[in-house]
Amino acid sequence: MKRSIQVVICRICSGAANVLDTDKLLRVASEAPYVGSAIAVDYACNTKTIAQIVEEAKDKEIDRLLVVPCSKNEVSPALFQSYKRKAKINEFLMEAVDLVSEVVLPHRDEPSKAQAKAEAKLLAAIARMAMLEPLQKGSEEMRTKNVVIIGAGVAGVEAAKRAAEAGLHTILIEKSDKEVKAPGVVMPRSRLISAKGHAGNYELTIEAGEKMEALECGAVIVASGGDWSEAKGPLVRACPEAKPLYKLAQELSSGNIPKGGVVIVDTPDPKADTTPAQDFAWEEALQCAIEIKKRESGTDVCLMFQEMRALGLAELSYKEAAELGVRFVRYDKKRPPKIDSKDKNRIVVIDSAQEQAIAIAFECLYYASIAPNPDNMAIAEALRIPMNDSGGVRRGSMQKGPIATPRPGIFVCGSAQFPRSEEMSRLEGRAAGALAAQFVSTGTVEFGGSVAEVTPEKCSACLTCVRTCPYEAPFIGVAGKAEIRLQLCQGCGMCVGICPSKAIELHNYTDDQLSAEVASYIGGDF
Amino acid sequence: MNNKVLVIGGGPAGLTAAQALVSNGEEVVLVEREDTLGGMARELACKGISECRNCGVCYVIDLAAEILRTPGVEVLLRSEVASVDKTNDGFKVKIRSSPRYVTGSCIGCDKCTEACPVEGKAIFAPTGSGHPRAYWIDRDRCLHFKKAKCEKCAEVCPTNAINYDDRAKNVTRNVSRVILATGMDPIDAGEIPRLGYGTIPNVVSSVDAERALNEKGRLVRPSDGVPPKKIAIIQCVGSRNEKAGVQYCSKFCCKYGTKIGQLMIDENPDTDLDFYFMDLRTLYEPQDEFKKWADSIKRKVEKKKFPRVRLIRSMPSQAFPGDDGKVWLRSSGETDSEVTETPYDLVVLSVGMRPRTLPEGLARSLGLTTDGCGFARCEDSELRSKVAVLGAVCEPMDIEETVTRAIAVGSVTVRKEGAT
Repeated sequence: MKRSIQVVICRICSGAANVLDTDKLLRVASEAPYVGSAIAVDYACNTKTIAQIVEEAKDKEIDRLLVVPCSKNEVSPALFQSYKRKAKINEFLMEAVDLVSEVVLPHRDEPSKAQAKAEAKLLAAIARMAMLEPLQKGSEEMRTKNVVIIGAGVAGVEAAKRAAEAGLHTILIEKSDKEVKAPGVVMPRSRLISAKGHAGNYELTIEAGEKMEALECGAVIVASGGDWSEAKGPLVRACPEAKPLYKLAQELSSGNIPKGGVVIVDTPDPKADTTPAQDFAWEEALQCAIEIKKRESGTDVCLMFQEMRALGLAELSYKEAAELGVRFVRYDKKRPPKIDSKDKNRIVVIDSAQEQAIAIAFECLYYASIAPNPDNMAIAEALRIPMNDSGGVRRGSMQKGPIATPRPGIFVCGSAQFPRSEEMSRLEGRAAGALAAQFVSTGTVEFGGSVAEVTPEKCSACLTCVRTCPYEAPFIGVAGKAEIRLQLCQGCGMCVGICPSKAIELHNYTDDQLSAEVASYIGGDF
Repeated sequence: MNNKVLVIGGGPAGLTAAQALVSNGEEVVLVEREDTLGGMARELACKGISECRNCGVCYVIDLAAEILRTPGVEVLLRSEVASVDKTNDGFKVKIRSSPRYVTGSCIGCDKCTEACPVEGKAIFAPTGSGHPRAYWIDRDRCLHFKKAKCEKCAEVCPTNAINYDDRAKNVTRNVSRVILATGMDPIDAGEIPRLGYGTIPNVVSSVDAERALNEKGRLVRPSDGVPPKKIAIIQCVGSRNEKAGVQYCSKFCCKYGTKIGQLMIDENPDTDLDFYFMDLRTLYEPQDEFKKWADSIKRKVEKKKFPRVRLIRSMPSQAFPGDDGKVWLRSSGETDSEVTETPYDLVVLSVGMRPRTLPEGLARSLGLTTDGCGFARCEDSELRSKVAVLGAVCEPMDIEETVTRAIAVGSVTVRKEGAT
């Protein structure tokens, strides 16, 4: 194969001119093997300069490009794009050498050392670039326009509505047999058993009633919500009449006011030893307290909490409640409130603000938190998405946007992640529906490129790669040798490093290519 | 049918709404007052050098760059809505754009600023990390527009990006809907004089801290440029404060305040941190996560038993300057009334927010009202379906919530006729 590298040094943007001798750098580069053209330009992101670079590449029949830009992240996309389009160069044969953050900035005060380091780095990059192979990305049609939504609560139904508006087929999986008003298919008494496939083409196995069903879908929305069933915890054990807060809200809206004192405690399990961290329905609790006080000012209402998280405008309700005479007691997790062993209708707690023990008599005890859904674990395991410390499904980094999980095509909304208000669940549901629609309506998924590949002759089918890969890309194929599912491979190289038979290689990071780079630094033969 | 939507504000809410609208096949006119897109996020720093802390700043900045490349979004920078008139199927909007005097071919090489002879410079890079990165000229300072006819920047510009003939433009657009996302203003910490902002050099606001972290990558003492060894972060400065006229909780300060604290410890493991707060309200995160983190920092110190991160439930009453640029804070303990005075190298005041004030004419023609705290609502029964208020101008919210709401509301607004 012909190898001809074009080296482009961006003189001014790279800031190199002040510290480095770019002419010498250029000379060094042009004398290196396989370099067909080496030019220094003033602004590699200028349209005219790009045209000039591409012209030169065509003239000299260049097939790969190495740029020294301002920094690795700031190579003008226009340069790579026009290079790919006009000079017809494979996108995997274009790289940037970051001399700014690795040489110019740290060695600003020692130009001679900086120059030597820059030359070494450039030569090493050239040596590796000469070894690279052109790679192709594959793409695959999405087979369906299905979106599977797990959980037909507030968030799930909203997500289904939004996705259906965008023309997707929605399939709602609901574990109970409650009546669900939502577009598309609703599967009552069903749960997710397992998932195969990859973004765009997931294959789910659903247990619906008695039978198993296979479902294909482009995207999955997890809207499993919180656990609204009976709460566990020492307070509920000691006082079985304790009820969740939403029951109080229901009673109030139907006109009933609880008789006698009301205590609303943030969680039935203050030490969080049976259930993980929970959140307090702050706004609802404050609203209920205000409602009671407004209608029956003689009723004693007490809110007991570890941290008063009256976020945003809920602060106004906090103030109003305090003015209406609602009692607020803050306690420490290490000194949780207890039901008086002698009097079932008294709760004893050490008030952190006063540092003294107080006892409050009550008629009704409410707790204002929901536990994470116990089904989250099974869902996360089936979809292979991570969980957070509080027993919810973990969302991905905000860099990829809200609602997303680390796996493409899988979204999480509502209390499945962390307890949310009803309004926020609804909004998140809509957003999840919109994002899933955006994802599925692209119609294709891209994969491949710099991914791992197994040499079957060397593979001893020891399963090490299968166990190591965090994305479950390797599997043992029909030939009894490991194979990589390209659609799942993220090119991390873990299987390559761990394979005892050295049977796996990562394209463009093969031993030969990396050895060439290392040899350029320290000499010798590998 | 008129399919255009006017989005006022190019911050997290406006950008996300614009993207949601475009992906639903609508056209967007995005009006931004400043010289770049990104809004408040332009000046905020990434707070996750060791691990992502989900502050969402990078999402907004990337989105700003993407919106500029998105067909279907007309971005008008340095522009303000002059008037909005109701029409049969929407609004007729007049937009006034101030000239930038630098064209899009600017590559940000900074040669013009170097060459500019004006003291304090008349040609600048846009503030923060927003997009586009093209420079702009302040007409009031630039000598070209005075008698001198100076053209030094045009002479050195390698891409001929300076255009002195740029003129203010009046643009008229017919739109079917309006999304208002003008965002918020951070509270000026100087409004609370007892904490010494503006009078004591080493008292900085969280906005200053974010700006320094964003631009220089580290936070040092303004007085001598030395990295601080002992830092205090004071929460609820301006928020939950009736004297400042801010009765509400600004919601995001605990989130960013704790993250700045974590970043400071990440960057310099020798730092001691005192975190003064009233209630710890980290948004959508388990309530004791930060407390657990603080505890873990304490245990990491070998042999030395003093706590490295102290969470103090107290609002310091007074800050006063000491020797060597130290700042002393007077505060009482959580439960006892004993008053202590502690010296710090640097004090960061976590300021809250106020919704941006709406121009009266705009508010009237869009049927917007403000509640007691100044947050905008659209309660006009007729206009309600055509006007949406998004982001921190309608309620305190952080970037993540803003973005989530904008995606949700962006897709509501574009609901096609006949759809349910």
